[in-house]
Amino acid sequence: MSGSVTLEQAARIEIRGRRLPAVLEWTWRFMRRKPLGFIGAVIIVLLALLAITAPLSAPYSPTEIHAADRLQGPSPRYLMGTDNLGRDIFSQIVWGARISMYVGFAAVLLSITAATLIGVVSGYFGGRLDATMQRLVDAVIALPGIFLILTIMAILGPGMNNVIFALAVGGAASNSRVIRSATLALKEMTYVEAARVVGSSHLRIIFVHLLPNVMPAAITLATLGLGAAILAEASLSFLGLGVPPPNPSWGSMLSGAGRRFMLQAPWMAFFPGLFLSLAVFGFNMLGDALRDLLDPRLRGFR
Amino acid sequence: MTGYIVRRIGLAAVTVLLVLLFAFSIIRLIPGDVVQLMVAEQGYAADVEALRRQLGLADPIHVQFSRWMGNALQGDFGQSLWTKRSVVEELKRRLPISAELGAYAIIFGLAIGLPVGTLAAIRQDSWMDYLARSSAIALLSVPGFWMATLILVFPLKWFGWTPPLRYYSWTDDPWQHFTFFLLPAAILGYALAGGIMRLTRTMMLEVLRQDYIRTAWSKGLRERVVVVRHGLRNALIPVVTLLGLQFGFVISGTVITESIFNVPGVGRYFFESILNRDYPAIQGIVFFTASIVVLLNLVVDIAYAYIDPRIRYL
Repeated sequence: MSGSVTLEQAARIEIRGRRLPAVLEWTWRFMRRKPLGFIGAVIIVLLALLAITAPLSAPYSPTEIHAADRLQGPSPRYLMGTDNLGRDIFSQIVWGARISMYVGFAAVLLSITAATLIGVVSGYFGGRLDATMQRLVDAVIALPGIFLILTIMAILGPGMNNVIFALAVGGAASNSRVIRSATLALKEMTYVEAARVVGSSHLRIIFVHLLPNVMPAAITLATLGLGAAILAEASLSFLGLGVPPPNPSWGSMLSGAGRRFMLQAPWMAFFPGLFLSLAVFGFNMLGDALRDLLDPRLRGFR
Repeated sequence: MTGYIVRRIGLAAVTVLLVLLFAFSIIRLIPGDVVQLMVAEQGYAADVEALRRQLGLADPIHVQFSRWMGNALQGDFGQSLWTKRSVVEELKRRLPISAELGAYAIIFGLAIGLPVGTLAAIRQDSWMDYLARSSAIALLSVPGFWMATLILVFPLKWFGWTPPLRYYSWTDDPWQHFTFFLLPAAILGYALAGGIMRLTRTMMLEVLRQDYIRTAWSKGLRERVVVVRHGLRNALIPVVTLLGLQFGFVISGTVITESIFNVPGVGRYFFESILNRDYPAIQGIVFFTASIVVLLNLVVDIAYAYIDPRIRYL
């Protein structure tokens, strides 16, 4: 009696036999297989925590002026020094992390949604619709990215939502190319053909068969796009066309006053850039690892 | 093949036309047109209207577009609304400067990216590989304008050294001309180096698994011969292709790099023209850069179709 175990029991024993919950185990496997990607994830989680807990983790308000302590170097009182108005740099960076992450996530969400829609529709329906849409995509891609983004910013004027929109448009066209080519490959799969044979509607095929299967590509593009979006937001702020003051943004800390006082107070430009690089580095590392794990066309490369 | 090339060229022409139409209309959406900037709230309504008519900006947009196209087909891209200088002349002066900057940046990128990428591939999953991969990503992550700021600040603070920030033309002083480009080219090029490093590694890994590499090994060839002559040569095709397609990225990079280092190139010209709503200048720049991008894509496509006949699907 003790020797025979039903399949169901075996499954249950297996589950109970696990030492770790599934999420933790997945994390553990990810860490073993993709150590670089894991480092990236840790960086992002730490920065995200810093951003979320900004009211607690920032020692001062980012706009609080300590007139007596202008242009102070890093010290225990002001971890990363103060700027020309006597504002704490570290507090500005912590609040700036919020802005950067928010702008990055919003822009990427918008851009990937649009790219997925355009890519799947264009790839699935093909024919004249595809040809027309791809010519438009060609035209947008042919324009160097920053030209498009600068022009859109000039049209819309400064403002956080405008930055998000401009960055989203800038990324959507080339991302839609990737999604389209993934769709083209999926469309030829037997299960899509089978769905068509049994009379599934286009809408059903797109939502049930295509969208879930382009998700890995979309997630990968999104993670890599986050780094690019944060970098682009900083570049825009650097050129004076980004998120307007008094919002503390890493890019604008680096540009205006950060550059004017760079000789007296190099920490004003050094620390924001460091955090900016760290954030982009984290997203790129994670995106790279995700691409290896999620994108079937690249799976088994390493 | 001929049919394919003809279709390809036709598509490329359509793309350039679309880009132009697109650029032409969106720059006119920028609030506060050039005339308002010129009179800066000091002109009367009548003067503003007269100026607008004089500049040809009062006509409907399709009239402006066809007039501009007609002139452009004859090689006349108009003149800057502010400086009255011919756009073509300005681009003739500035395009070579940006192209030189871009070329040095690409050389810099190749010089670092190719050897490190190859090394990472032949020592896959060693500490060298991990180091190369993380530094490639780091190079892609550190913003050029920050690096430029640091290079302007710290050497000056510690050694009293500043990089050359005054542009000399090739004919005035070849050496000064060359040294002027070094720093901006390195700043523009290190991100390229990261990208090239990664692609070289991926491509090398794929090539090194091929049968002819095993044959080369079993013939008893030395490692260097196998890696460089049989491996790298074959991995190089996609790398060089990518480089051609990275032109847009290089142009985007010049906008900021040229502003920081006072390079009188196209990138800075574009930024200034956008701020000044200098329509003819923007249109000219967009036309030339978009044409180069489309042309490079076209060449790559045709070359691929020539090498691999399966690609002629269109």
